[in-house]
Amino acid sequence: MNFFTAKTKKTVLTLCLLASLGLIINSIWIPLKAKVAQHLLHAAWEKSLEESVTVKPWPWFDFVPVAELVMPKYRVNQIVLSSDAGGALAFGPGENSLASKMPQAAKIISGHRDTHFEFLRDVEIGDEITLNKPETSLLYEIEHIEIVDSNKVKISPKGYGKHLVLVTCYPFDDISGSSSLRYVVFASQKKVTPSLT
Amino acid sequence: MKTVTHYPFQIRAAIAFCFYIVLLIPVQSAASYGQGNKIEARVIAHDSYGIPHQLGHVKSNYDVKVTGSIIRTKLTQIFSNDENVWLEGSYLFPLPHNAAVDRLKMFIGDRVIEGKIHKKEIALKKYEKAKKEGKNAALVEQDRPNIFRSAVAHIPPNSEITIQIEFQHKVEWADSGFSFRLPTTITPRYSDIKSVTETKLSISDGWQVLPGERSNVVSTTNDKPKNDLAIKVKLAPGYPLKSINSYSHNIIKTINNDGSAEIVIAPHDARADRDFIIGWKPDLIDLPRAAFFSEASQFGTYGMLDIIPPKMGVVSNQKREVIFVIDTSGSMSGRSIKAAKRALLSGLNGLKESEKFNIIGFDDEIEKAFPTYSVTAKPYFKSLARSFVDNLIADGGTNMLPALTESLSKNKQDRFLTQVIFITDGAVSNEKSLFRFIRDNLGHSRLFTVAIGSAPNSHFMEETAIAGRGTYTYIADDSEAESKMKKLFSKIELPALTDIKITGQGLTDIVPKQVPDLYSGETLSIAMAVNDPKSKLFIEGRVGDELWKSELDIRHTSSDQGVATNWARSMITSLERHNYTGLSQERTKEKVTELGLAFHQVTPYTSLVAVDVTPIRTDNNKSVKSDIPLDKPNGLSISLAQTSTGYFKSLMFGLFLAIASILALAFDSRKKAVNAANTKNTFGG
Repeated sequence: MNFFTAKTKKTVLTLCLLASLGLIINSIWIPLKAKVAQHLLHAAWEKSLEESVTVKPWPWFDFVPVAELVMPKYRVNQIVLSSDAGGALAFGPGENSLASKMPQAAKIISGHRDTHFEFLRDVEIGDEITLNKPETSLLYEIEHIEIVDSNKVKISPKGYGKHLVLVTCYPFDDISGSSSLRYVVFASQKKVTPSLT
Repeated sequence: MKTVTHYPFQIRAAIAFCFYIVLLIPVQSAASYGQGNKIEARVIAHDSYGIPHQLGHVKSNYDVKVTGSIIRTKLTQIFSNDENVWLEGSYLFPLPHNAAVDRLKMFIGDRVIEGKIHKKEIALKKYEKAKKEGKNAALVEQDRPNIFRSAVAHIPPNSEITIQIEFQHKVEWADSGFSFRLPTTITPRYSDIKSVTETKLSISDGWQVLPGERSNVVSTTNDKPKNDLAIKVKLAPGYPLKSINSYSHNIIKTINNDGSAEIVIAPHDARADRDFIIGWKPDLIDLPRAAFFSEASQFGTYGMLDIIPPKMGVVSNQKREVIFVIDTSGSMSGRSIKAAKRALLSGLNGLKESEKFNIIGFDDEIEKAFPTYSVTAKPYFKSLARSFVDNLIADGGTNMLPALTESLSKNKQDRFLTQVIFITDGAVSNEKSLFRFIRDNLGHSRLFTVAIGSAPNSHFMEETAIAGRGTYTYIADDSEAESKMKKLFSKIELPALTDIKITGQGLTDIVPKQVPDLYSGETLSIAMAVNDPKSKLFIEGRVGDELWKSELDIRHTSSDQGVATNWARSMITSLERHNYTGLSQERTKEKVTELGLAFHQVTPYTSLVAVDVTPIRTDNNKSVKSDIPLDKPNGLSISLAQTSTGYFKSLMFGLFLAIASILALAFDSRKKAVNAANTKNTFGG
């Protein structure tokens, strides 16, 4: 026995179809936004280097670019933002603002495993990472990689002075998107050179 | 690593030594129950998978003596090692706010080795050197005003080393009585701003890190045995006692013939999950309103004065205006704005009808609940305000200046006392100019900062509160928004003694120099150097438009121990506060170091170190020792960010839904076509 008339059934299904299209667009928008934002951030970064002031990529944005993360081997050149809050990570990897204020502490940069930091699954011990800051260019070498449970383990920035710590979610193919595991890449500082600009 | 293969029975300990880092967890997170009268905390090492391994533990034992206004505590820490390897222990522990640590003893067998005060770097070097030479050594350093670290090198296998630390702090006094507080857990980092915190904190609530904070505090285990607490208090305040209570634990008290009292914690309640607090009242008809103690030391005579300003007559002419300023910028989105809204609504509920209020929300622009002026807190306006708050959305940038301009300078001409409650995470970049603006435009208003979220800009919030002559409240989680706001409101609704000035005659080095407002019943504590047997102290302040002046003749006769130490500690605190407000870093460091060395106190720049003469370890143990990367903790401090968008999941779901709907639609139309065909056939038949 049909509960719905044929017409309502058709309407419901059409609505479902529309909703699913919305969902698809919305999901595709996330990686798209991550890509597009990096272009705008690059522009803002270059401008802030030229003018020696922090430049926001767009006026209503709450975060500023603070560094450029470069790994030529994986064709990575990303602008790092001043926070690792969710609002920042949608647009680029973010540096933990507490750690960045500590003297002689590690720099902790987080990024989404399914957008900016997807490349981390391929990185190997010994790989070099360049972090360009406005005044200096820092060269790091990956020392070790750990998988930790973020509910249980936290990073101590002062315990890893002169290190760069890259953090992303784990497992990389996890479908739920709510895993508490993190893929943590520790790189030690090898060289500091004055910035080219 | 070789040890692993050669000594299979030692695998656990050896692996721990090769790969792991010795970390320590604070008392509350993993202490064992039923060991008699001791607090116990384990020394934990973490492997590269974050799995904790126990390598030893620290038992703590407090012996407290209250004399007059001074509390002196002997804290015994027993570092024990249950493993088959040599161990070095490092232990982070909390002490009361402004505790002056001035003595360290290390017990080796029946010998006692006294600790000596040195500059921090030198003390550390001496400790490291002794460690290298295989000698027993102990070190006590200050991490933050109320967090210290003790380190003990070379605890023999299956053995223990005992150290004893002595510290002094002051009795807290308000017109409701006397009390003292002993933290037994590491409290949230903001607790050192005000002496009272009621939050019970477990580490998973979100520990935050201050710049310069040591970070080898870890809580990774979920099993939390009940802690027991060993605290023994001898109370001899110098006046007859009327009542003794503990606000935190059940206690057993014994009153001695000489009027003093002895207090221990009742065994069934001996848990170290909260601060230990005792309050007492004197059995006197006229309660004291002031107390003076002095001590002649090798550096001169020092005095210590506690005074409760008299209650002022007129209360009603002090009308209040409360302006809530709430940050609605993008950085507040999510849990932060939720907590901020709850805090604001709770503050709103606390207003009386006679008081005026307004709400300003700010991001790039400001938005006011009542655009032209503040309104009285009548139910109608309150309900309008509530819906205004409900509709606030956190987006946009952060521009604080317009909000401050609106809230601070607006009401200078009227007779209302303006209290600005500033709720934000402090994500700003132009800190310095904001402080300057607040100082210049404060007038008679007061600025109270309420920090929201798991990682607020604490430096900014503290400095803003100091510049605004208000207080600083930290709300870590929206569940504690109500209780914290209630406490803030009950304090600031009564008029305060403001613009306090202290001057002396025959007295020098009076601390504090800058006195914050004093709320009803709070005590003013002053420390000073007394240069003249007949000296005078002048205190003045105002309550609304009433002036309060007091002149005190100071005659020091007695000599009370601890007064000089108290002065030195107050001076150090004051110097560090000046560091906030202008004194150069080098100057502060220089002066604090000088005071620390002279008065034998542990400060941010001076540490106590005790070193044994004879080595205890021989060469064949050295290989294991060198593998301990003690100073590189793997532990906590910063929560790892949520780092997946999960877009793939919703994309998959979307695709699935799309395919399902298309199939259903297709099936539906086919069915229709079939039905239509069938119908035709029937008719045709």
